[in-house]
Amino acid sequence: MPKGIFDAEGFFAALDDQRETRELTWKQVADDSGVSASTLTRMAQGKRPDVDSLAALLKWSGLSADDYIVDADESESHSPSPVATIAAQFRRDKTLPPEGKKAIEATLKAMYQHFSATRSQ
Amino acid sequence: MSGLRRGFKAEANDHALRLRRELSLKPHEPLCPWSLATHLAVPIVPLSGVRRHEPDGVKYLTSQGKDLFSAVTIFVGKYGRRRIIFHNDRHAKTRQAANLAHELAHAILCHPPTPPFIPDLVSEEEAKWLGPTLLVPNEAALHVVEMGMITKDAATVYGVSSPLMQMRINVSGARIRVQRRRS
Repeated sequence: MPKGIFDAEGFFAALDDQRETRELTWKQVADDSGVSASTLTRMAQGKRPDVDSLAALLKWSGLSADDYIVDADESESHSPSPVATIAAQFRRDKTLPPEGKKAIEATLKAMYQHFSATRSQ
Repeated sequence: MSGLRRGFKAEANDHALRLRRELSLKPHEPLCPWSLATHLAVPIVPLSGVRRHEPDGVKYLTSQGKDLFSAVTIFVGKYGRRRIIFHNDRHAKTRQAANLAHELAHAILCHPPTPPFIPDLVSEEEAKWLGPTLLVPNEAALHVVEMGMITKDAATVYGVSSPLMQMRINVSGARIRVQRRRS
């Protein structure tokens, strides 16, 4: 029988949907639920929250924890979403010359391909 | 630093202090961005570490194009929300710290991804404020002034550049607060 685990990333995504629907900032979510910003950040990274934080977020959101219990095998076998393939945040100190933009694009593409593949293994 | 919503600067300092508490640091103590990344479960990958995957691009960005690329957050995972930060490790350590603090600020604020080369201006303004605040919160700036440290020494202690330390001392109002206490 496959082992069930809590899908923290999926739960975070559902919280984000609720946050957007209610037109709140993450700071407001943290304040309203009493859960720290670092706990929310760690959840987005796939780390399961502690029991108290999970209880607080379930109460705040009205979501059911059962809906985010997935097979351990399933949680490791997912592939990245198409959106993630083009999503990134850049820091730029000045206007990029064409060769710089080309180098960044090529490097970003390679990094993404390698690390998304690594993480789905 | 215009365009920040009302109350954001106080929230940023609160983030810096709360994260120090979580890391068992005092409010004025230096915060290592690499340790913070570990605490937040955000992987940090140096550009030199991906050289074999894109030799030409990495070679350019670590040589003649060194100043063009500081750091980037890419999003992976089933929901496209899991972050990995890549940064240019050819920069000075102090600049690396500032670059990482900036990207970690985005993570702490749970800023969503944006398309490459099209930054969200509000998010960028928030990260530009929170990043340096994480490294030198108001309490640290006050401590530096109270101790009579020169900016260069203080920057070394906190692992930041002198301009960043000076900026944080200025915007925190630390000198004025210390002068008032002493008068």
